[in-house]
Amino acid sequence: MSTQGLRAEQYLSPETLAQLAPFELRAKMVADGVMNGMHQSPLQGMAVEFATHRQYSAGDSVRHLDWKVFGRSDKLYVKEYRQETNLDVMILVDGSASMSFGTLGVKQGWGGTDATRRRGAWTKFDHATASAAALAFLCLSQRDRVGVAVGADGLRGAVRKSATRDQWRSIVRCLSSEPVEASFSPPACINQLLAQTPHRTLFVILSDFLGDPEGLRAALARLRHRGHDVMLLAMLDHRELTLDLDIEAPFIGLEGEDALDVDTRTIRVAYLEELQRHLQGIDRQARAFGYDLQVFDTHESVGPVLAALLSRREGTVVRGRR
Amino acid sequence: MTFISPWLAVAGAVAMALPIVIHLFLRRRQRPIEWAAMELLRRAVQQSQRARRVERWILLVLRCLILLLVGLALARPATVTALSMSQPIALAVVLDDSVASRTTASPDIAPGQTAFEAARAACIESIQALPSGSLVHVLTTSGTIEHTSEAVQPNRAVAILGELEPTHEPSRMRQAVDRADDVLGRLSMPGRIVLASSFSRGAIDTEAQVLPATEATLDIHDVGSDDTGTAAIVSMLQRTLGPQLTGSITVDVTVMRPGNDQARRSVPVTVTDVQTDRSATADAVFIEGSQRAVATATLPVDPTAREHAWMATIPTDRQPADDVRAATISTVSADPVLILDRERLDIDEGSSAQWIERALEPIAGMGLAHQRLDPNEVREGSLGGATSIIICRPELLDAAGWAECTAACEAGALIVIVPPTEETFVEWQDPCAAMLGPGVTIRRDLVNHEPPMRLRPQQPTSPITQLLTAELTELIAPIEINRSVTIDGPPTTVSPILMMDDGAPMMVLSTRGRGAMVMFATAPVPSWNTLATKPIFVPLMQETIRQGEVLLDAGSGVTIGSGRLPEGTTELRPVLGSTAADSPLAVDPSGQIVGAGAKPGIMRVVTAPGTTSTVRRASFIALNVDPEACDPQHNDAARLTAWLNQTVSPGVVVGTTIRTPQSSTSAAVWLLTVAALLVLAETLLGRMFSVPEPKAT
Repeated sequence: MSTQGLRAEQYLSPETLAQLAPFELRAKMVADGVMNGMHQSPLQGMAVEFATHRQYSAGDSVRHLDWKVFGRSDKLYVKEYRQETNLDVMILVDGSASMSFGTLGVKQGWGGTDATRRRGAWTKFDHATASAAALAFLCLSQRDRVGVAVGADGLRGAVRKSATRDQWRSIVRCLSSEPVEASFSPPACINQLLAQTPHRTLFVILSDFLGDPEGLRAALARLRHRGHDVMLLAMLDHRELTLDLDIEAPFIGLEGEDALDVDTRTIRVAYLEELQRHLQGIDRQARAFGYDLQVFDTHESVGPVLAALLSRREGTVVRGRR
Repeated sequence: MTFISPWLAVAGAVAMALPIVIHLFLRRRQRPIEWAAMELLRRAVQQSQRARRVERWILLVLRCLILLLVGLALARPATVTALSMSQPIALAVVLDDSVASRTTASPDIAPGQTAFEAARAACIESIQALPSGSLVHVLTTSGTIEHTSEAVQPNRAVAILGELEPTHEPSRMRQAVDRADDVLGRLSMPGRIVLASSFSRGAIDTEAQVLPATEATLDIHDVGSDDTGTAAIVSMLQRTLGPQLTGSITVDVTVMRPGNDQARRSVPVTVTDVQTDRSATADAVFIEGSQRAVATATLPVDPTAREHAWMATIPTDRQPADDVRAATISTVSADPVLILDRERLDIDEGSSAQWIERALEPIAGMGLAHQRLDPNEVREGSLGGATSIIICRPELLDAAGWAECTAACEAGALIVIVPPTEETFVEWQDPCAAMLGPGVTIRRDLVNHEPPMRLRPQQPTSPITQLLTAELTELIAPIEINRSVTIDGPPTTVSPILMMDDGAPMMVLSTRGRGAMVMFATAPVPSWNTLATKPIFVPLMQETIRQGEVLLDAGSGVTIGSGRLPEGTTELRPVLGSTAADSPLAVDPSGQIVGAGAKPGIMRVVTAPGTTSTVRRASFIALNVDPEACDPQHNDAARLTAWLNQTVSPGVVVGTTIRTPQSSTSAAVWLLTVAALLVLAETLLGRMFSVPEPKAT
């Protein structure tokens, strides 16, 4: 049995799978897939699922006239059908240095890198890769094409989208990397990915989003312009979310920032206000483009939060169809 | 303002530093923490940390101040103020009445007075200056420290002081001042202690003795001391033979003076018979440049008394160092001398025992009582605790007899052995030599001297013959020795008392255990020598018994507090007529006198029966006051001031007055109130500055 095989199995936590089993990853936009699937296709009329009636206009094929309606109302209506296709999903995991922060002990059966296991801490990167693996597994089980990429100041590793049987192992191999000593640059990574993405794709970006919001905004604008759907999963450690430390000590940044003498007791409120403001800003940006933002607490399980996100998206998609 | 317990104030100051130290220590101990959201942190710090830091320093200062103030309050703040002479006060006068106070006071301060008299006058002066309504306690530095069970009116205190006399005891100044502080503490009036002394080295030891810290004002009256003209008795020697024979005693008292006194001077010495209280005075005359002089005094004594003790003092120059009393002992045991001999008919010349008995009691009823015992009857307990045993027929002693005699000697008896005059084949030499000590041999062959051997004109010095020394050459001149035994032994074991012309010993002395042995090399019978028929034989036998007993356990001086009593001493009984203590003093097994208050004087030493013998001895011993306790040398001003500053550090030395701080309750309350207010302020500010609970994000 190969090491990669072992590592791949590590991500298949029965707990996570059980929590995600009832859900489907739905694309909000119309998918541009090449195979039949569960997602709405821009092509109509070829499928079997009735979509709506439309008044006949000159030039329409008489094949789609609804003769039953004509017989009852003496009016010409054309039947329209919705074609469903498969979804292309691209998962981008932030592999920058700030993702190596974690204050929780290693979780068993959730993946994680060798480095984090050595340190004995469950990092944001671990949480991101576990979430990415869960999503990828979900996609593959839906027969959607899925690919992953790990990026920082540029792409550090990527697996092209595919729905083949070997794709799972390729994805896990890619996710088994470790954070690098660099900052996360969303525009750089997105540009590289867009160059390889001709079809409409659901981009899932997993990061702590602690970098410059302006760069993220530029990346999201680019994706919107191309018509892609985006899910932003913000991975934050519980301590980052609460600053539950009573200490006066020098704090040093993971991405080369200068040390800062901080008394956490005196700045906790201000810090939490700043954090809230920051997350609200990102959420506002995401909403402006019609995208979703979900904040993940790395001390919590991946499954419930991911399930809540999927449930929310599913509801949104169903409502949109009605 | 000062503090009664300044160390608590220091503790408060140290405690004040604790929050700061903890703050700095914890701050320094923190290791850097890695953090991802540095930008958020930086913005939060810019927003709030600076203000928080100022607030925290304010709280830190408040906490430090609280600790400091509590420490100061617990240190009992006090004020040093002069006592008002218009308000009644409680006065404790501590008068130095120790042996050191017998010294002459400084002529500049109190000419012609002793230190005691000058100190008492100073105390009385202080009492008479008291405002009306004041109360007085009278204390002394030795003997009974407290002379008033409760505070008395000033005129009563003056009367008590007038009745006091200096004692012969060392000074216990520290205990006296401590006690004075205690008794003043029981009164609600302002307290003051007047301490009057010569502050000579006998009164205080500035190196070892320290005054306790008092809460009352301590007023020092230094009357000084004059240590010129000091002379001290160093020894006493009985010059004449036993008083039972002469009816009088002549004593040589040797006196010494310090090296800086070179003038011709006469020092009167008084010799007192402590039994009869009769005394005689003689002058010790120092010639120019001499440090030693001898005074010879003769006293009539009771010839029937069996025990005699004399005491010498120099009463005139009132220096306590002179007052160290020496005692010489002339004692006769109450027990008769036991002579081991068997009655036999000797019509020619008489036996050794008969000649010895004649020497011990030359006139019937006068001299040393004696009784006979057959050597064959010597068994365990048969010696009856005799203190002097003369063995005239050693050849008749069996092994049990030798063992009993040896045990008696080790228990403290004097054994005198005379060679047997009978031709005998019985072995007596070896057990006798073994008894004399290791390395001693007695040859079996008798030495017949032809022509007769004489004694050497210059005899060695021996304690047995010390009173005969002056006439010894003349007395031994006619003695001829025809026959003798040869005693060989190392000089460390046997010392010669009398020697023959050829250097062989005629009498030897050795000690064993607590006892002593005298061995004659020739029997005192005419066929052996002419000793028994010559005048020397009576004093020689008398002195052998007397000085032998003195040598054993009498005459050794013991100093109260530092002396070592003879082994086995269980009790010291005062001798009537001396200045001894009123009641017997018990002695513990370690040789220390039980209880305080042992006074100088002449005491009888009582020893318990030994484990190997029934011998029970009683003798005299001199108990002298500690010579260091009457050192008249005055502590110089610098030494005294240094001592005062060292001993009562909380006080303020003003001239010879130490003003000790008066506890100020109001100041302590004030400090505690401020501390409580600060605690309140710290609580309020702490709540005001406290970081609010963050809202849920």
